Amino acid sequence: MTDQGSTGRTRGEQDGSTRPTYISPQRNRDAEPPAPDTTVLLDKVRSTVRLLLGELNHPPRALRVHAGDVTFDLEWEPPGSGEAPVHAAAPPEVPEPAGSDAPPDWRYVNAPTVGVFYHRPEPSAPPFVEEGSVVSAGQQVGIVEAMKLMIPIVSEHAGRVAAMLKQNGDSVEYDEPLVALTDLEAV
Amino acid sequence: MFDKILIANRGEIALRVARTCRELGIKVVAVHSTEDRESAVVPYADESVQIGPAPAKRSYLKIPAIIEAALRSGAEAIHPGYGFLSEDADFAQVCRDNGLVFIGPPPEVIARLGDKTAARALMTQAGLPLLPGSVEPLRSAEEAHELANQIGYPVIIKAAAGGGGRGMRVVHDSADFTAAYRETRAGAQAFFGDPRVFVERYLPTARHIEIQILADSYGNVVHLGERDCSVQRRHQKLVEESPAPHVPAGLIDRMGAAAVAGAKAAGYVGAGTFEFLLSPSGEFSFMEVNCRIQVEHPVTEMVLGMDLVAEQLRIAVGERLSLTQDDVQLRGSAIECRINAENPEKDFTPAPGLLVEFVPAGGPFVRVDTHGYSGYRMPATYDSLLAKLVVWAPTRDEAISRMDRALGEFRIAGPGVHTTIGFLRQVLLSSAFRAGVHDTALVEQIFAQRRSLPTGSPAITHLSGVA
Repeated sequence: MTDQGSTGRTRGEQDGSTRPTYISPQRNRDAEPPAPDTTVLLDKVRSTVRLLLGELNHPPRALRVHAGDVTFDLEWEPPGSGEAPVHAAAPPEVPEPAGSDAPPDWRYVNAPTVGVFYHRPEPSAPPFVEEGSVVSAGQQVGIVEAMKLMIPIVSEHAGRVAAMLKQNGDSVEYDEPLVALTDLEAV
Repeated sequence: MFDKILIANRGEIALRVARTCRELGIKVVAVHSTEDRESAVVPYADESVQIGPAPAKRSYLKIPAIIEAALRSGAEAIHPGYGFLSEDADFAQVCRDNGLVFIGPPPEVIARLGDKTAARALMTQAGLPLLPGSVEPLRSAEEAHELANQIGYPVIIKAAAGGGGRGMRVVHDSADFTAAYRETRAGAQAFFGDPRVFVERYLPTARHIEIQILADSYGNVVHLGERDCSVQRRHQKLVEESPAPHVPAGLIDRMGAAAVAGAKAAGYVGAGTFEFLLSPSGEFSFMEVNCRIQVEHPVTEMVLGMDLVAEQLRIAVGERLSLTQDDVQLRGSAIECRINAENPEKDFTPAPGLLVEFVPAGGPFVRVDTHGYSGYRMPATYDSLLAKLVVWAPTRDEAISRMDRALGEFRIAGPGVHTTIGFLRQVLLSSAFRAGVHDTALVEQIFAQRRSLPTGSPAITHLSGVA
């Protein structure tokens, strides 16, 4: 009747960010359950990585995430290098600005609630915005639907859409980054 | 059996429910606030959904967020745990409206039993003994005062939409009644959104004995024996045990039969608890029904060898009860201590924080239900329950010794973190508790005596100055 499992956690700080960064889970390997479906695991890690990157002011130089049998290794090119970033194992869909030397200064528009994210006001209409669109402060960039309620997603800041981080029709969690914006001055 | 369920709760109970689901092959969806990202159930679950920011109103109590998470994840049912939405009739109805099975009683049963005045009326009709008091809504302070005078003082004024020991006031003198009535109504409005109250005779000393029942959706009801929850501080339970020590022969059978009759009268389905007070003269009176799994359910599980969450799931999926009343035989003695992150030296103010050290007790017949772990940062936003320590032994004396041993080896430490472990040991070692003759006044009596901790206690109850 004793509880055998224990889960250790390590925390650290990166890039001078004041928020603790979740680096790697450590588990009591003896008590590990059978490996979950790899697709589910990949999905979960991918959304965790997105969330994690969304919390940081700048993307880190490198990031490694272990989960079960899955490892994500991400590196960003150091400033001044013109080479493409290196991926290992399963590359996540974390978007990067094409041809940029410096780490992008991205702002994020996040989901105000759990729901489904739509790019368009209705299926037959054009999307509110897409990659490259110029956005003004207060402009609507999407909809999150929750319990039949259509919640307009509005950008607080002006900028240019660097990436749509969630697909049209994706389920989203509270505070999940939906749209990434760069400053209008960035090329 | 369900393929996937969503657990609409947090902390220790979310993990406890998830464990039974795993044993039954049910996939688990955990929901959590931003503050609970690191909570133990999140990595344990098969999927997790962040549903809101820290405040419960915007996360664990936010019905649209929880329903949306359930629908998107394909969960078939929702287990509400205890507290939060577990006794919210609207939530149970919304689940039903969205094709989700709510693991608990039907919405109309929750609504009726959640109104404590209506519950009193129903149980009176069902023939249960009650303390003298109102069974109809009180229409005015004057009417309430007149009733109180008839009942005789002391009386207690309780929120009809309340429960769980909250929103109550004791009145000893007729002169104080009207002010107390108004204050209780104001508090009820503030806490429960419903100012209605009822009045009842107050027993200054009594034993709190509750009966666990199980009811399937075919009208079959059994009781699973009693729990004695008399060790309370400000109406919050601290220590619970089964069986109740030193009760007259036949009493539990009569209380069990009353609970079963009450459950049938209410059309109850699921796991529920009938709370009673046992007066010094040996008479029991119905207090309220709790329409949820309770914090202290492990105590019953230990003396019966049953998994009550598994029983809830079986009932919810439409199975008949697998046991009859004759099958219910309590064996041995089980005790539970609630370990809260509170400082007993400072009037039990919450004292959560980073748990630098968290080493639970273990060994024979020791169970720990907790979401804590070394390195866990316990949030300050939610209740202070950190762990439930439960032991079983063949006799009550052995269970008390085993509990003292287990409390002594349970190590919880962190900057600014305090727990009630030392205080619980005091309670367990008090002569009244050991003799099993204690009642709801025990904790107050212990404070009055101001005894020191037992010597030789190796437990580190707090660290300070750790960076």
